[in-house]
Amino acid sequence: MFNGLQKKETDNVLLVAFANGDRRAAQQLTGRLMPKIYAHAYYRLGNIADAEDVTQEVFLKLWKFAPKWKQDRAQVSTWLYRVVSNLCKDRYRLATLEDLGNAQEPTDGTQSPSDKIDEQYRQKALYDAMSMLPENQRLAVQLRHIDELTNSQIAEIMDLSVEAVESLTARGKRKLIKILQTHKSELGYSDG
Amino acid sequence: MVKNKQNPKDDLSIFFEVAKSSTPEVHPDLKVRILRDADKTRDELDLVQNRTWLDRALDCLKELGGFPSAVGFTASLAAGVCIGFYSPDWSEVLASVFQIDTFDEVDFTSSFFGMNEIFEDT
Repeated sequence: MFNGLQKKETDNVLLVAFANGDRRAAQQLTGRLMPKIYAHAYYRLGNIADAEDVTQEVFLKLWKFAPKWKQDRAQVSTWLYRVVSNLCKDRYRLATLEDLGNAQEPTDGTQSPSDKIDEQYRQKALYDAMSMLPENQRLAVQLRHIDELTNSQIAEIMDLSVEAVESLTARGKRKLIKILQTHKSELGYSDG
Repeated sequence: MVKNKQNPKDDLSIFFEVAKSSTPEVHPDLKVRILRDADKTRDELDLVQNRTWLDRALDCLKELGGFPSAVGFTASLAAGVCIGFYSPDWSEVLASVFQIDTFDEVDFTSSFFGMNEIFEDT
């Protein structure tokens, strides 16, 4: 099992190995980091095609940047998140989730059809609500609660202090709760 | 569905859980494309890292416009040097063309580039 320091060392070491000619290092890096970057892009952009394009572009930038990578700088994953969030910001559209209608496979085989519908509504409601947040709040909330990064990692990605990240996340969540209040009746919530 | 009374903040965590589980599986083609980009970039890096001084000199020549441009440049450089060292005396040619009888020589190495001689006469 890797602790955080070992993981950082491994990602950085792999990237330097790639820069020095080891092509297999690219395979390991891709396998380890691509799903997270893809997930971030997918949630940000709302459709598979754009998420795949952005993910491919992010890794292309990584391969080209590899010769200049310094081992004592930030983690590779942090760098990737910074790049993907910037690329997503450029591509961001206010369109709602296009692939929602394509009925993703349920994660829980015991889900009833009504549970699946509830899930889809919640997914869309959160996506639409997050689209209404200011960019920084939206990014902080997504990185913290969907990408599950720590506050210090988010601070590095967004080039802010940890306190600023905590403030952004808290304000973002308060605003989300307020926006989602209007979806309660659609989702079948009751106060009883 | 009943709101969680014990902790109202769990309302959001339910949404976040759904968001986390909603990402579709990555298509295998995406990984293939990313690794193809890695190979291509690695090939380009190999080319750059294995270049010799001769490769760099030829690239410089290409930037100047190739071999014909280099020949023309060299020829004009040689002509300029020759003219500089063996410059013809144009005074006789000018005298015959413009019917000029006298010439004043101005020594540009003297004070005020010879202007002092002109003002002394007036």
